Amino acid sequence: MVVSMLPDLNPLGGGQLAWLILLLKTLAAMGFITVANFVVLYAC
Amino acid sequence: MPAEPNGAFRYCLDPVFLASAATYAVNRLIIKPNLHHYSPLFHGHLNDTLTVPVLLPLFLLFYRLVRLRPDDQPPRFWEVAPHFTVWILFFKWFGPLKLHVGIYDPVDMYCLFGEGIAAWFFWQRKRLVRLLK
Repeated sequence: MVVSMLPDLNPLGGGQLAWLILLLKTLAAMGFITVANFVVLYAC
Repeated sequence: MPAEPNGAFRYCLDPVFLASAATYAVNRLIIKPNLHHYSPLFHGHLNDTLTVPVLLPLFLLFYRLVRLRPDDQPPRFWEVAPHFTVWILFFKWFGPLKLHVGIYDPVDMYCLFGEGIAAWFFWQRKRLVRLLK
């Protein structure tokens, strides 16, 4: 699998779980950016 | 809010954020309701001018809370520039031309850019002063 070829993220704890957490955080940030921008566009 | 060492960026307690948010509130709650004619400044340009100093600390606070931002340093250029680019595209192209919300006005882009640069200089003033010495 592609995931098994990813290098360890040592500062985040290492291994594939760290990549999954980073992916979830990135998705959360993208969701926040999208929602916040739409709120500003329509409310301000 | 994350712990802040001395001199760290204070996000929602940052003076630029507080002053800009207060300016927006005064404009929205007091000035605009009492204007009897359209004012390009108060109805348009001022909001765009306040975009970076108001929104960026909130965005950076969220990144910090989910630990995508590793520290509490003042906003760096590479943190300001991508947000600025996204906001220009979203508020001045996608919104007005695709969603038909908001107004396309090139002057707004200069306002957004100017205040973004000014806010970045203020946030980085200590570092810039150190570089100039």
